[in-house]
Amino acid sequence: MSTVRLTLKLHRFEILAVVAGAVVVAGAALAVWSMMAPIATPARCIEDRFLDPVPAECLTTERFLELNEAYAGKVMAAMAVLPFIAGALLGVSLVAREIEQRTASIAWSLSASRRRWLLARFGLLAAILGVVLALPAVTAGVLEGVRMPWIDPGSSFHDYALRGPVVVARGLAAFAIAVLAGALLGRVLPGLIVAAVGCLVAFNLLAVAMPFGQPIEKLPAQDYGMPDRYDLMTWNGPVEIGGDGTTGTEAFWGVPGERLREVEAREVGVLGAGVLVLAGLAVAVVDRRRPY
Amino acid sequence: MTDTTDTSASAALTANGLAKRYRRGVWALRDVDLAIPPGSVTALVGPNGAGKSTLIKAWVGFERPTTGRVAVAGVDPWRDRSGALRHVGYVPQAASLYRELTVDDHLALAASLRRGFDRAHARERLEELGIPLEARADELSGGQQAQVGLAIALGTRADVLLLDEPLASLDPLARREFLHVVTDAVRTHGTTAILASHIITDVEQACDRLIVLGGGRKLLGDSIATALAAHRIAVDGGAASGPGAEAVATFAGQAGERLTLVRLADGTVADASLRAASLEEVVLGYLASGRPGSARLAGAA
Repeated sequence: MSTVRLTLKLHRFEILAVVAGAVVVAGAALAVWSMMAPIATPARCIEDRFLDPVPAECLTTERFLELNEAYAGKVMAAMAVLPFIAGALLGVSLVAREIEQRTASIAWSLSASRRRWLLARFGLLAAILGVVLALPAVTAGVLEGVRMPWIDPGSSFHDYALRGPVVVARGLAAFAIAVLAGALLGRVLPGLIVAAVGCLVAFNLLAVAMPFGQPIEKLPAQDYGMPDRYDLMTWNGPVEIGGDGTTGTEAFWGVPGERLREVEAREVGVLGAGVLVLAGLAVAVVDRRRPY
Repeated sequence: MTDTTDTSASAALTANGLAKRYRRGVWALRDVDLAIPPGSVTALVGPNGAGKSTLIKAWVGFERPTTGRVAVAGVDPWRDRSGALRHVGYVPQAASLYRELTVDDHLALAASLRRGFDRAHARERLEELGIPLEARADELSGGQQAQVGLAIALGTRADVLLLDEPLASLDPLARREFLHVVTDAVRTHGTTAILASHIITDVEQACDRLIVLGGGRKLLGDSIATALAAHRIAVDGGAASGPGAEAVATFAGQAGERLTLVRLADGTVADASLRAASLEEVVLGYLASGRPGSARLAGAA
């Protein structure tokens, strides 16, 4: 109990900052949702709003699209960075600050096992981070359902990783990277910089690994890009298919949106394994390094 | 080098052929052999860079020996860290307290980290000294912070106390209080203590053994009583050597006179022209002998 209380007390500023950031983004998502939900527009209004006269059900479409671009888009942009900032902020201080402020000398001379010392704190802060990030991850999903009323957010890759469990998994991965960077460097600011670079490298590598072994299918051209469907494309542009009757931009290769949950589960699994590996590396570093 | 330390297997702390070289190539310790008997208070004296902290940190398991080995109660901290740390209460050079935590939080933290931590004992020590348990660490004076560090070390009920220059930043009264607590603990519980310090008067008051380190080497390791009995001072080139007497080193006295520390062999009767050496002079003599080029001055040292 003391460990929990004292860990919370020692990291209260980082925890407060992370909670504040998550609450602000989650609150913003709900606020935008409350503005957009009453004027949700059918898919056909995207084009029908230009008709003269504008159909009655499309009268609010312009306003809806304005809100979508001006606010919903910004909430989603915040969701793109929130897990990394929160994870890095909370993670880097775990070991680096102890070393920087020389308190590790006391803690490590008292603790028979540095492994236990680190893992108890790592587990507690990771749990807090997971719970805190779950809030905006859920509200961003709710917002997604309104800002794209013509798609089912549960079977679409639109705004992938900006909502749902991947947000939490990416935050925890950033946290583990930051813990390791802090343990290696023993300094908070350089640790933050290295953690940021580490996240950039790690998540670019992750993008290369997508869709994590999911079979890639040839998707009919009419499906891709249409407002009712967003598939995870594995190439930036269209792939020319020859010999089977489809050519040019008629077909794309990708993962159908219906497989969203499978891809998410695989990414969460990959990141979860990564977190365990990084935690193991951090333990190895802490076990061997000097406390100053 | 003088070496009359107890080398028995029952020593509380040992170092055998200990050498430590840092990554930048500097040798912090070389060929150090030590055996600290249980229940003693040993002063570890030497200038900055002599290797005092490195030696203590090797015993705590913070510094890995480049060659040789160290042991606490017979346990090598690099082979069995938890086994060695069970015997160690450590007070680092800087107070190293968590600024955000209260004194009582520190005791709670220590209790959560060390099985068997005697929180009541630590609390009692601090209350005796009038240190408020609800005060945050950054509200305490340097002396109070050092006392909190010491109370934590004492609360571990460890049989070895490693005190890494805790007196350096304290005023004379705080130093005296600190040393009083240390000597009291040693007397009451038979604890073994190592106290790294620059301040010879404090050492003389609290310690019964002395280790002088210079340039990473052990220059002297003896009981203080023996060290005082076995050394004399020759002033301005007096009878610095003779049968059973050898000059250790020459150094400047407070008035600018040339003082030579003379070591007497066992049973040697000192020349009447030699005067008794103070502990500070013994230490200064050995530190002078450890300086580069000091062999010309030091003779046999």
